[in-house]
Amino acid sequence: MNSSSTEDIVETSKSGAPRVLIVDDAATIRLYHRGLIEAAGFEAHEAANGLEALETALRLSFDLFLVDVNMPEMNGYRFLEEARRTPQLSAVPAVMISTEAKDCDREQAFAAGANLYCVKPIQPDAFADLMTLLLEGRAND
Amino acid sequence: MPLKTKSAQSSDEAAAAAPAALEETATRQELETALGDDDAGVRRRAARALAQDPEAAPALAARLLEESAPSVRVYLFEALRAIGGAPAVEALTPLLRLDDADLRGGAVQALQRMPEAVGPAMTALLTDEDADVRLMAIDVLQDLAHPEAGQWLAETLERESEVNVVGAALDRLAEIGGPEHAPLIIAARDRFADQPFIAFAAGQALASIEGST
Amino acid sequence: MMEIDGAAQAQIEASITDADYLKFSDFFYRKTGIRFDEKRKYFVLKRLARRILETGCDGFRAYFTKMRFEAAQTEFQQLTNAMTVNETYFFREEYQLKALVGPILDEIVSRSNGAGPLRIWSMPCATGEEPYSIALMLLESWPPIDRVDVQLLASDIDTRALAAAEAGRYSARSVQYVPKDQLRRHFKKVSEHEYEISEDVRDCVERSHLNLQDPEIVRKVAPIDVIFCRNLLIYFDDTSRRQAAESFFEILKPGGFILLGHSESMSRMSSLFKVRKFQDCIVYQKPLS
Repeated sequence: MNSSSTEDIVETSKSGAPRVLIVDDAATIRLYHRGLIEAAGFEAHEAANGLEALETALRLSFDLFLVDVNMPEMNGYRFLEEARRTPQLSAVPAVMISTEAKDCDREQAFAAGANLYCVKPIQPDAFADLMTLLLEGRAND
Repeated sequence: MPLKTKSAQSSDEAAAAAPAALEETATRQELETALGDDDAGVRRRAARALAQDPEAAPALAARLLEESAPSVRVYLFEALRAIGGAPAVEALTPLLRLDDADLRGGAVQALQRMPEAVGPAMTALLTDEDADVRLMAIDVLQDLAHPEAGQWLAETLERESEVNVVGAALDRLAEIGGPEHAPLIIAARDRFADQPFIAFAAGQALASIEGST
Repeated sequence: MMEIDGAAQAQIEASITDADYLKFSDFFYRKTGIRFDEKRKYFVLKRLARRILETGCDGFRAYFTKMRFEAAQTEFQQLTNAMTVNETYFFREEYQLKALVGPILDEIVSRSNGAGPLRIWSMPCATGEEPYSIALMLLESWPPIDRVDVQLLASDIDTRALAAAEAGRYSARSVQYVPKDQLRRHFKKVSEHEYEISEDVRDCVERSHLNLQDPEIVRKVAPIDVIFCRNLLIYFDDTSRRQAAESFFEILKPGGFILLGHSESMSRMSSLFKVRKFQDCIVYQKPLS
């Protein structure tokens, strides 16, 4: 809505905290996950579907993707496949968060490029473990 | 100067030189056959040409099950959306049960665009045995311009036992709910007292309703 | 435009609660991808209050329900118009033009390898600022213009806008971002506040009267390498937008690009295109295969 694009292009987070992209079409879930991420001291960003997530992830650098499955325009599997094909996004760890607990869903998530698979709804305690995993990933970089 | 003033041929000449469009001459049967053509461009044009023809809805939906090119899938869904009405709803709702997330999502988005026709099918979808189908039905309600959407969500809250369906219904009610929904939201919160997410989602929905003018 | 009672508007504005505002901005974001930040709250509330009054609703809740559940979604489009300001001037979104004469055209030229002219389409071109800015950018900042054939097409549905583009006269405000030396070379000052763009630049652009919904649009325009379609699709309803996306898909050569307006995103319109980033610029690409 204004003519400058550069103001929203930031390369690293202000605080130096790990930056997490929440990809979910439900505003309530984005807010819930945001609360958990910020409580852990990390920086949260949001996208409402896979396409918007790609746009956001190309503009900013992220330390973790938290990805829902069913979303309009581009679902979570397609997002992960695209991200894995895109050089600057291919190494970002991704957690797929799904309502479905069947084995085939899990396999499909890993095939698309997820590093971890969680079943919704996320329990706050489990989320802390997730964040630890993320930090280990960063430490190994 | 290579920045050309005039095209080599004018656009009208180009239009005249192009081959007659498939859709101008072909019958439905020919177009339905063309949906299986080797060339994705032909398949897209056939899908677009069939978008006027309600009787083509079953063939378009059947093709969706075979089609692997993402762009052709977009055209097939768009054709079904343009057809609309009962034939399109009938062709699209079975896709909500599939394991293929692309097809489920495409069906949800197309159904959102036909509020009047999808209305009569909503209750059956929202009470389906399969929780995944009920979740897809709640996704249809996310962007459905139908006056009964609030009522359907209320009924869902009352009877639903699957936590993610309740969570999704609460998310939709944060947008479209009114004071009449508050008691049901509170009841759902109490029923899922062991779920932090439901407590959160119910809180959001209530705040949105109570803070509204 | 209806006469609006300022006091009534202020009253409505004051009655919109924080929860209403949050609900509205969540909804608008879901539908358009545009997120209002705190800085814009004042502006958004004003426009919202105005639409509430103009539709005869007595408050936010009645208005939101009417808009949300209207099958034709005409009020939603009205509201989108009210929420988005669209001013055109030379070198608007210059970062996109720079990406064009940098990595975007580099990629197209290296792929096409001299096969046929490179075709750029400005749609809608409005009164000409956009296509002429592209022409200036190509002439001044893209050295390969000396050897690569480029065709620059500009179309609009509005014949008055096209006539103004043909006349090529612009206010001082409209040309304020044109570099001084280019202003000297390519414009003539015709009055204290008005500049006329040179015939040479005007002749670089092939103008045509076209409607994006024209069923013949593909045959009239294709094939195209780069489409500039800025601040148009956001004003379309969902169906027209999807049809426009299909038309662009047919019109583009494989690997061709679309540039949308700064606040627009394909993420609420269509999944036909791939997302690419060139410099600071998000661009949408028709897949190569």
